[in-house]
Amino acid sequence: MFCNIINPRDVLSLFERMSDEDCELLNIADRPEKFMITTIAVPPIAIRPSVMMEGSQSNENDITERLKRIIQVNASLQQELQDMKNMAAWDHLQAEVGLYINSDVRGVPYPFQVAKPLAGFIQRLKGKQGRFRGNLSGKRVEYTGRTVISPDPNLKITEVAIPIQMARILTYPERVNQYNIEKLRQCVRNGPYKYPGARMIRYPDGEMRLLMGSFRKRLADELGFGVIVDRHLEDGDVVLFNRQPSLHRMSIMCHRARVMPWRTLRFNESVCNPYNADFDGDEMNMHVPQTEEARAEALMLMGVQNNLCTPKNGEILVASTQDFLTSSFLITRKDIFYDRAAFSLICSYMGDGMDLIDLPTPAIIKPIELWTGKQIFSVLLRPNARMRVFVNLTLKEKNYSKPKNASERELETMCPNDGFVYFRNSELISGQLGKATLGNGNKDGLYSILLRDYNAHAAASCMNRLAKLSARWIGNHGFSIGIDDVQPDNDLNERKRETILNGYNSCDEKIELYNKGKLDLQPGCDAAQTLEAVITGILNQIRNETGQVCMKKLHWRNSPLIMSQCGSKGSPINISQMIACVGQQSVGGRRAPNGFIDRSLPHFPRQSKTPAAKGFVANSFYSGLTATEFFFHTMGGREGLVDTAVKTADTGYMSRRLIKALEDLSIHYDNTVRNASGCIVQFLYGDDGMDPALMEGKNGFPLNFDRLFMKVKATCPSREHKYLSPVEISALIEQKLPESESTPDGGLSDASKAFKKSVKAFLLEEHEKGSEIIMKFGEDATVENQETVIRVAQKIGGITEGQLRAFIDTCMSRYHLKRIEAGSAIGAIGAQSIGEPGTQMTLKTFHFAGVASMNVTLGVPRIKEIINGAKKILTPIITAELDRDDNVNIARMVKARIDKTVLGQIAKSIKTVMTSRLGSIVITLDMNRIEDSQLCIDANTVRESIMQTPKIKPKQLQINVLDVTKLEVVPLVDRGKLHFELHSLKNMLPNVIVKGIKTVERAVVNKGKEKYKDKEGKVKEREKYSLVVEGTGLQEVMGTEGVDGRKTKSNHIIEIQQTLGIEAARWCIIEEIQFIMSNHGMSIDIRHMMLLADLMTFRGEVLGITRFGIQKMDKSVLMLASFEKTSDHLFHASASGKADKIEGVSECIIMGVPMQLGTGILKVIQRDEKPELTYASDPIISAY
Amino acid sequence: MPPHPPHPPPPIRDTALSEEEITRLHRIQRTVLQMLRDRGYLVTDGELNMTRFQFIEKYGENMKREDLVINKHKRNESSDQIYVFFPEEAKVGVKTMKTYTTRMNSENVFRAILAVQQNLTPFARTCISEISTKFHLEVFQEAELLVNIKEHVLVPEHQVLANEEKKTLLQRYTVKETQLPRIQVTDPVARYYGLKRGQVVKIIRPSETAGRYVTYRYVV
Repeated sequence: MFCNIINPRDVLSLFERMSDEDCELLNIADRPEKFMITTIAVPPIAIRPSVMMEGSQSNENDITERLKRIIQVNASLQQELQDMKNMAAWDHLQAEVGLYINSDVRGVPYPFQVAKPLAGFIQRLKGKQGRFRGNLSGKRVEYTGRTVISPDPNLKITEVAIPIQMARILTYPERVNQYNIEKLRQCVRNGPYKYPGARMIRYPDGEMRLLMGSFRKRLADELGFGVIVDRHLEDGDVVLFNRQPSLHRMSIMCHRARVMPWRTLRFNESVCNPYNADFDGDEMNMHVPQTEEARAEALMLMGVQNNLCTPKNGEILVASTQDFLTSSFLITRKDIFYDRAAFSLICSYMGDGMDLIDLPTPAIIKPIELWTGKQIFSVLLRPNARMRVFVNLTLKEKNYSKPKNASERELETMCPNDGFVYFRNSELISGQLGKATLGNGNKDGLYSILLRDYNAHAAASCMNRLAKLSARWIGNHGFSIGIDDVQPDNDLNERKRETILNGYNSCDEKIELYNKGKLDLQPGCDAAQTLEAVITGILNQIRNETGQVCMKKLHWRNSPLIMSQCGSKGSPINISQMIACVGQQSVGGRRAPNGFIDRSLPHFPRQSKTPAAKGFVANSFYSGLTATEFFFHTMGGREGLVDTAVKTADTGYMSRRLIKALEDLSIHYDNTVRNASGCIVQFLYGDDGMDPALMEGKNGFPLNFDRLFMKVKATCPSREHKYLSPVEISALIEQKLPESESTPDGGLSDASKAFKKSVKAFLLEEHEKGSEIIMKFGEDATVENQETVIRVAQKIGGITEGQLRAFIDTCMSRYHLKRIEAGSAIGAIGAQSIGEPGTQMTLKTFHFAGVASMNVTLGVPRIKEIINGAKKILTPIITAELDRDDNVNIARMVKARIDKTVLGQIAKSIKTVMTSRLGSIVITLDMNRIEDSQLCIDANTVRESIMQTPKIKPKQLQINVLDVTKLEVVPLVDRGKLHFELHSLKNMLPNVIVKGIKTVERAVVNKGKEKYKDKEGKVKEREKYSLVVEGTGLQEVMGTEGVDGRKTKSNHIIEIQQTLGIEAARWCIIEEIQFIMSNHGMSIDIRHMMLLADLMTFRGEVLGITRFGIQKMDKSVLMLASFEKTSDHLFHASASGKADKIEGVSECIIMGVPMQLGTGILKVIQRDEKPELTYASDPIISAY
Repeated sequence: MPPHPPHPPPPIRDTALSEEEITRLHRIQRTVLQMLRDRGYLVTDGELNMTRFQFIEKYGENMKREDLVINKHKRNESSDQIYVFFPEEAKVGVKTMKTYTTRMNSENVFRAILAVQQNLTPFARTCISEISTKFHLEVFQEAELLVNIKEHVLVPEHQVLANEEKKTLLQRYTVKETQLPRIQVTDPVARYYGLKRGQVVKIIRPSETAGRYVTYRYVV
């Protein structure tokens, strides 16, 4: 073979001779010879600065070193050229120039760069610390500070305490005017080291003077208007406050500064939540905006007050926590009473004694005036009569005693645990307040309602008052935890011993059964799996039971109990682990695995499956763990640690990718969601154009009608007004909500029509309920009291015209206020809303898909799969509905059609038959077996399936059907090989698939229940069978006889796209993300998932949020370069001569220009009237 | 469709189709007819609602795939015709294609749908693209036609926009057609409707938040 390596010089000359037409075909922007470097660009010294060391030495930049080497090699090449030697330096020079550009270029012939690679240009650009990500997309800034944080309930939620030391360094340039001149003079006099001072003066002519020295007094006296003084930070200055990781926009918020002594940054504990901060040594950063415009924008957009709610789902995020909840819970106990002095004192706690407070009427007047604890909250909500805040809400706290069965009535306000919170016109009627009312993550809590019905200020000031009140109150009351809080008494010990013994015994029984092979199998499980499932069930039962006993036994003043009841810290499980029993430890979702041969630890016999040998911890933390228990406990603990460590890296990368893909999506003035290049992703955001941050109802519904209706009825009392008759009500509804209304914006009509419909439906239903109540009352009425009874009944069930009007008006006006604003960076918000919950996902990675033993992946791995648009997923599952879903036998029959059956399973025998002349294999089918599983297989079909298995080379076989149950396989080979052929055939034949779908792993009949209405309209339950199929092959499953193909779904997005199209894939993405989130108990507004799904599908194919998918989304080069594969994108762009319009977010940041979304969406366009020139210049190129 | 009781092993047959095959063909034929109707061809209700029994009656107990050939014309224009072929062999070769094209040529039909059992041979595939200037042949696998995907719960309603409607849409949102969301020509739904590059489909889907939502996709 002759191999010719083309010399670069030949290439160059070839390139030079290429014609321009051919160049066009190559899709390159310029001449191809420019790919060859003939001259080298040497950057100026600013690009490659040399660092002076002490003495005369200097440290040269890597680039300089590279250039040096190139010069050296060049010199030696010249030498070699003169000497006509072998030109080794030629290759050397090639390599050096290559390394100059990219220091880890491949194909460098000799290993001379092993020592310490000198960075090339590409190394400067790429990676996290590279130019793109390290210096262009993110920059170092001035006017920042960072220290440890600590709590201070005396601060307002909008404030942050800044240590004096910091305030002396951070400055704000304030312009002198007649109002602040005296203050600034004093600052200048104080100088840079004395607070409140100033560091610098800037004069209008551009001169700047540092204020270090004795001339300060003179400067202060000469201070004139218009001069800018860089003064120290003072109270009320605007600062941005941030804690990493900044997972959502609430991780950077704007506070007002409070300069305070000591050395920590302090803020109200209520704001811990959005930052996800605690005070175990966390540090936080702050930034000081330097212009009035920046301050105004920061306050409006990032102010704590304007970010009480998360756009993730509209739940309140800034809310009371921890001690605030505990003290509220204790104050609102039913048995708490205060006399005038105590009550007044507590009232003065909440406003530092500076607020005007109207003392309510005492609850008990004789023998002495006494106020209840609940009245404190009435004062807290509405301190004086001038405050026009009327809160109306009903809420069930955690300890609300629900009716045990359906026949029992809801107890509501009569709940024995006082768990039903009822505020009426800002008076707390009943209920002990806890997390559901005051805490975060709730849409119907007190603060949410204040925020929605009134404003952010009302909610914030209420939080401030509660923080001060509870910090002071609990300081006096005292609340602590001690060893006696977790000491079990003898009775508890006895009962715990009993339950554990019982549980152990039943476990032993099951193990016995298993060993004998008599265990009843669960559907779709083998014996070992069934045993595990059963034992796990029993052991969980033990923990629950002991836990319940323990919770019941605890004294009502037990501190852990109080904390868990009010939701401030700890759960019943935590308590029972301390007192009663720690419970089963799990590793990887299973009981402790075997680390030794057939056993988990050498302390146990081999093959032992007893609870203790597999990681059940029967002791409590109080009683102490045994050595083996402790070991198992650490196993579980380590898994948790490893999981969190791995997860943070995973989710961080996922968030980054999401942000990069979605960052440029924003709402435009025509309500469409578009990316930077103007491509439409959604025609109307979230299908209805609503802002997810403002949604009040469940599941992202704009309003909570029930609550609003209650509020309207409470705040507009009927008094003398007449109650409406049914006819009047429907007439009024028709009048207020006309069917067809010409909306000027046609796009919104669909959604607002649906909203109006829902208002109407609600009112009609409410009216029906009301009239039912009135009817019931009417039945009981006698002739004398009829009038009174009807009046009472109407008060409950009736509605006046004023109320109805007020309700409809508030509904409609609020609905219109909840529309999303044009310019919202909805893409970034959506990406954060999906990325942030990822970090909180616990290690629950599996979930039963209806049937035990059939698991679906959950948690971060599954989200990753979906977002990546993975072609191959871990647990593909198809759920197939049946044509006839009420019969088990039919379901089994369909299952048999889908399930993979191999020949080995249905053959009675597979024998080799050798005669003197030829050999064959005879297969006898087991017809009983086939009939049992309703398979419809006979020798003919088996023959067909053997013919269709390419692995056993059916063309070299002769298959004879001897009879319905028997067939003969004769290999057509020469006699010498016959024996081997028969042998391998005999091995392969049992694995031939005779029935079912190849891609399916297995299918299981799933028994479910379905509610339906019979002929009389009664709701009845019936059994409903469906199939759960593990594996892929949606099309085949859909086509299987007996399966209702129209309702068959899969969790494999790519497969759905291939069989059902892009729209179905979009639906599937939304549904799958929702499924994961709901399984982890997280609620995310569906609009975010819709946006993500729309982005992934708007190109007609499912694009993953990976570097490959993002590339196909019309993104600019700079954005792609700042994402991944920096150099590839830059090289490619330069070769094809790409232009970048600087439209997207990343590009704008890199170039340092305002981006085209948010407040930057506005452009002022001025009509440019051409100035009329008095003289006319000759056009250079004339049009004629 | 009620499932059948487990039938006894069928007698050994070579030429005729088995019971299962007949059911399959019946389902396929129904889907094809529905597809033609949705594309605007004239299909009578009687044909659409044919039961399995009627199907056997029409084509006989020993039907062959070739018997099923369908020829329909547009509802408003009888000259615009389409053929649906059901080739007999599992892998369709160039030879069969040639017979079909000659038949189409003689009857002045320029569109056809091939419902193949498994696949086309690579040669046949290139053949289709070669003759695509004259004959528009669409290939469907039988497996795809067993269930009408248009009726699937996950597939929303698609409507093809007329040129006029497309223009107003583009004007209303002031976009170029390339800035619309897209759907591929190879998308199952696009193939069902026989969409061509450059068309725009209106998609009306049920929505959790708004009840009903209208979007558009540009066929690429």
